[in-house]
Amino acid sequence: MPKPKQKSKTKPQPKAAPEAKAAPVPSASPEPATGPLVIDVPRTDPGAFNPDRPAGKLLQSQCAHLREALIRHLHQVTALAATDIRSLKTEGQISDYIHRVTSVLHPRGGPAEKR
Amino acid sequence: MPPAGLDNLKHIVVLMMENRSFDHMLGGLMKKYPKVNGLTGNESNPDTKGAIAKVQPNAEFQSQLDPDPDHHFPGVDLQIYGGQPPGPDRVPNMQGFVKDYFTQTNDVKRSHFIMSYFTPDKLPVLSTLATEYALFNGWFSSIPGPTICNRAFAHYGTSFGQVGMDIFYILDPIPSIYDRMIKAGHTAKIYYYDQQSSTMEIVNLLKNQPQIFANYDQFVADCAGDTLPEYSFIEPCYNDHAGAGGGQILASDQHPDHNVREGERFIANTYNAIRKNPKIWETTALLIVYDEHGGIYDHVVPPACTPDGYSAKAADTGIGIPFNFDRLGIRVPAVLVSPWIPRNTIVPGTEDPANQQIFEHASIPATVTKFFLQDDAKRTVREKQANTFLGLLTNTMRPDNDCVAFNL
Repeated sequence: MPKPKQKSKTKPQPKAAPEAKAAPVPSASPEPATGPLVIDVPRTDPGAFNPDRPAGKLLQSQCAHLREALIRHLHQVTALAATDIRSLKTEGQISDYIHRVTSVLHPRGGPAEKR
Repeated sequence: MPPAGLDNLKHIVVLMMENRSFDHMLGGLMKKYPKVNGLTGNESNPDTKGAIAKVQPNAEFQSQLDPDPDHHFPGVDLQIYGGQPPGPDRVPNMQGFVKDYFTQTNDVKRSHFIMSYFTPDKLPVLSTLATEYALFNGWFSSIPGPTICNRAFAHYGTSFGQVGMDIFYILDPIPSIYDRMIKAGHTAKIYYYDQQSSTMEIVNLLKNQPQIFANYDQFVADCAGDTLPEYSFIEPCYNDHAGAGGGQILASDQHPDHNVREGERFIANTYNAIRKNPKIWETTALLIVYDEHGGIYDHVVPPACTPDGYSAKAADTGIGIPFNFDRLGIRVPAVLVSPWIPRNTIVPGTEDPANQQIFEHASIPATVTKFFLQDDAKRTVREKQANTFLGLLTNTMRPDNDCVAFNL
């Protein structure tokens, strides 16, 4: 791994909040490692998978929150569908509408870079 | 001039797991590492028969904490105060965990399981990261309550007066850390595991699709492709479900009764994704933290804190008195990973009053804001006064062969 370069630029250091201080404590075995410590991570018991487990309060809350978000989303979609498109006269108005509809139909599209 | 580790820093990644206390996951480290504020083995709670239930190194990966231990506001109040009725003179004693778990199990023997903890050998990933990098002895959940309000502190630096799981809508002029970053021309993302698991940060942030959200596969790809945002928040998988092509996707959040070992593998996978790309590894700080204790025993009394300017009504707290957000929730595991952190860094907590550094989830937006944005006026006093954690990065980068690797 390459050694870090010492850069001349520095990150600004505002003073609003207190900053943690490094407080290294000697290890029980403080000698430096001679090679990377490689830990084998045990596999999870194959029997752990249980999609029939009763859902807890957290998942039930998540479900309710998503439903609420969906209702809000539907309200937005309904409003878009109800728009009288004959009232859109300029390219700016049309592009704004297209943008909002496309955001619904293809939400991962994202904005274009400015040229 | 800042330390080289801070000068080189480009990315902050936060992985927030679910519902495990510090002592339950890492308390067993104290036997080998005395500076860890963990368990002596003599800590105890009375059970409902008046017998003493000591902490036991018998935590299991799954099936032991079923039903899910209570971690809602009244239950946590019982855990902290041991059943003393609300009033100005009561003193927190951390003596009500077994009594509270009995209310769910209705079984005295099973109620003792709330005192269980893992020995370090059972959690090779979290225990190793805690001793190879920096461990916080004093990182607390923000509220003595459940998931949603605690996670809100990580996103907004406040829960807007909420102490429960209800949906809340942001009417206050406090933007999320993601909004702050994007508005200032920076990059930030919430990576949820997949569409079947989705996110816990739903209503208030959904409007920002697709800028803010991506899935975990994208996180791994962003690490490999040098396209990691400046700030990333990772959510584990919250439920067991079928994967693409019929495979099995296990919950990796470690929320009881999900398998703790699967969470270990998720933490290791996240670490590996960062670790495998030297450009990302050398420029990233990874915080692994738990949202709240999940009702599981911890011996450290949560300290008082700066209020965030809100108050929860007595009807919402469920204990007959309002809560002014002037005390933190129960302590949770928190580990900061970077090659710029010396091995075995332990950040003192309340066990060392002269040097203590107390952290909570408002420390997350506080740190991100301080580093990338310098300041943002639209924050709670609580967040502005929260400790930030990047001061743990030093001038010296540990060589590659001195940093642990995980074989999955």
